[in-house]
Amino acid sequence: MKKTISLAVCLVFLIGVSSCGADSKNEDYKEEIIEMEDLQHEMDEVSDALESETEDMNHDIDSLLEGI
Amino acid sequence: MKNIIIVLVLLVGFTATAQNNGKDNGRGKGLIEKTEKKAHAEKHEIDNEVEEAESQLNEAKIKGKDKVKEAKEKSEDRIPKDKDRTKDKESDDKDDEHKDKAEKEDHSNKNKDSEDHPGKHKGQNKGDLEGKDYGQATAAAAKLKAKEKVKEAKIKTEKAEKAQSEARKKIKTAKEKIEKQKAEKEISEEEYNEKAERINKAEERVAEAETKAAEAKEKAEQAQKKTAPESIK
Repeated sequence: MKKTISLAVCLVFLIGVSSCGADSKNEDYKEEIIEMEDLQHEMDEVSDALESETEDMNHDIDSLLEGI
Repeated sequence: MKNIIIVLVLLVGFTATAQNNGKDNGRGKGLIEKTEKKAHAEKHEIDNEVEEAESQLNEAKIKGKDKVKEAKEKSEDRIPKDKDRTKDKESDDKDDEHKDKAEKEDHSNKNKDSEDHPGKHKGQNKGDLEGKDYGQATAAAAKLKAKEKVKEAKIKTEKAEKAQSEARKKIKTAKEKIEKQKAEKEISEEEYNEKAERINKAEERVAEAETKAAEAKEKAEQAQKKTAPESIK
């Protein structure tokens, strides 16, 4: 009888450990998704800023060197 | 007899757990491949869109050049207008800085626990995928998309560097021209000084753009490291 109970406890423990592992894996994926989305947003900002800066610079240079 | 039953139950338990893990891994790999294919298809679409946008940009540039020519013909007192424009631009820059700050604050407010964060509601429309599989597939897709964005940022950086190099060439030519004009006494000392000052301003402007491009390049390189294959968890 004691052995059966200890067996049941072992099984419950095993199931618990495996489900905790799956949960932590999901958390890892969530973290990674959020990190990658932040990165996407940052890169969009970088691209936009560079594009407008290049346009502005070209315009300024043309204006400043006009007539020289 | 009891011992045999115990051993059997334990074996069944372990086998079931192991099979479940193996299945998850296999399914995960398949999903990653599917996601990669999907991402490649998306990449092609993005490339096409970029090409279209570039052709539109070229058209707009041609139109813009025509307009500039018209404006040149009309304008007589350009230099004072340029000064005004510079002032306007400075105020515009300040406005832009405020906007950028506000956007950054807004973005930082969208922290991981915030309801507004784009990743917060992920998993509500997951279709056939469930739990770990969905997480794995979405993470892989997000990483691929981030890689594409990094690539775009790098292309923009290269374009910016090319534009800066062209601007430097223009400045060099202008410098040589005014030196020659001065030597041949085609222009007065006053004119020379005025033109030299404008050239100096142009050099400062290019240097400013170069600093910004260098910062952007640094950011893109850091982002590239984050999206590198070895950083996969």
